[in-house]
Amino acid sequence: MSNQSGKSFGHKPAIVSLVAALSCAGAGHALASRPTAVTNTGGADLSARIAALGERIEAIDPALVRDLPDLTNIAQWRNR
Amino acid sequence: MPACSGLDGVTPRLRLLVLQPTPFCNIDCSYCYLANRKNTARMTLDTLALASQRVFESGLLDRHLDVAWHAGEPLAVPLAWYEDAVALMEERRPSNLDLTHCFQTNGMLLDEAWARFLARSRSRIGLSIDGPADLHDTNRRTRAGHGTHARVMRAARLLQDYGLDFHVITVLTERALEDPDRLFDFYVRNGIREVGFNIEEIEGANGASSLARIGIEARFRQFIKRFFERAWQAPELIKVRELESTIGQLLSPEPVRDEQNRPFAVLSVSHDGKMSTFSPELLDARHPGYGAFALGHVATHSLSNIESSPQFQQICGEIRRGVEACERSCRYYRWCGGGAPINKLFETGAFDTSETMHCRLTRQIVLDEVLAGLEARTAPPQMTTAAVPTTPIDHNQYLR
Repeated sequence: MSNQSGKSFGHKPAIVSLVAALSCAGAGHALASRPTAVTNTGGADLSARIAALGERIEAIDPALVRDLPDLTNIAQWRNR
Repeated sequence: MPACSGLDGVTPRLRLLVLQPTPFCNIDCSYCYLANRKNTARMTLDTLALASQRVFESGLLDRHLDVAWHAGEPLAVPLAWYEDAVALMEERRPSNLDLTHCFQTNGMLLDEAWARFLARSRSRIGLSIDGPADLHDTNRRTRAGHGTHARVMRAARLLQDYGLDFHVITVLTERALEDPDRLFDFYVRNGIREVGFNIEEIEGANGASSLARIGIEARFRQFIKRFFERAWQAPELIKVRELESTIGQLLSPEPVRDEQNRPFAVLSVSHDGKMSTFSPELLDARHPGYGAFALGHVATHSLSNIESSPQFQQICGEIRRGVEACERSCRYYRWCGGGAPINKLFETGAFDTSETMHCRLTRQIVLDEVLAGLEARTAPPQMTTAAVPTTPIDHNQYLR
């Protein structure tokens, strides 16, 4: 697990997560509460879909992409 | 420089030190991969001192190192030993190196003294809980056949009473896929705020998995889809490791690297001083084609000695060819990094192969579902074609 926050005794921090950040950022765009929808991605290349997604998220809040933690591109061992 | 090199001196890369305080486990889970879990031997402080020396002198360190006490039940070794062990490592670490100790435990032996130690040492704590009692006790039993759920939940409440954050790792079996809502509600009602999903793997002493059956992948996909939907709708209640890490990887400008297939990103040391790298589970594994995977010993080998050994070169070369096979053949490679060697070995019989059940379930399906979920939530309204009705969720129920 990558979360290293809040290890001090007796201290319980708020959960900080990318999902929470996206929900918060998306709230102004009326996105976070939208029900799951089927997107029109028929046959689209995985790279193209992910690139388009990144652009949309960056447009919503550039900081979400700019301030990613350093270790997000490392697949970590599952029992940490 | 050897043909397959991890010690190129360019990038500090050792991020995880796995130390096996004992191979012993005080319970006997049905899906456990550890063949030696009845062995009550323990690591000595002399062995730990040598292991620390090998790591601290390696030149592979950045400013942070996770130390995972694993490959047996870590709390089966007396607390007094860890007091000395943590002090020893603290005393000998380079001044610019920060250590985080990590304990993933079944919780059976966790008491107030342990809680105070975990707080004092600022350790990262994980409990292994497979959900409600009927699910958990199906597989996580004592050697006498008794369930262990009540005791691990007591451990969870103790940590909560002490204000200690912890995560839960749940091993998904076929039966667990039946009701993602029930699993979600279990976590939330019990104040479990971080969860990671492992799967029942074909690995080591566990030669079969209920998830290898025909038709499971579609059910696994439905489980992930529904659980993520719940987590999306209540991010203040729970943080899901797979959701977080996949979003980060999708948004990262860099290709994903897998620390398990990069030499010396992980170093594992057994209770008796044997060293291995790549997947930590290799430390305790034997395979008909390879034998054991001990690549050296803390008393006689530096990490650079290991690198030049024929056994390391063979394994490293095969793992590298396996990663290259993934790169050539798999459209998920950019967001995976080439998969875990331990799963390739025990599912396909070799390291130089590509797709496994493990990667289909934990990488491909998870990425598919996270991507689809993000697309649905970020697309302009005109791009969506058909809203899928979702089951109404009253999250205020958890406050009542």
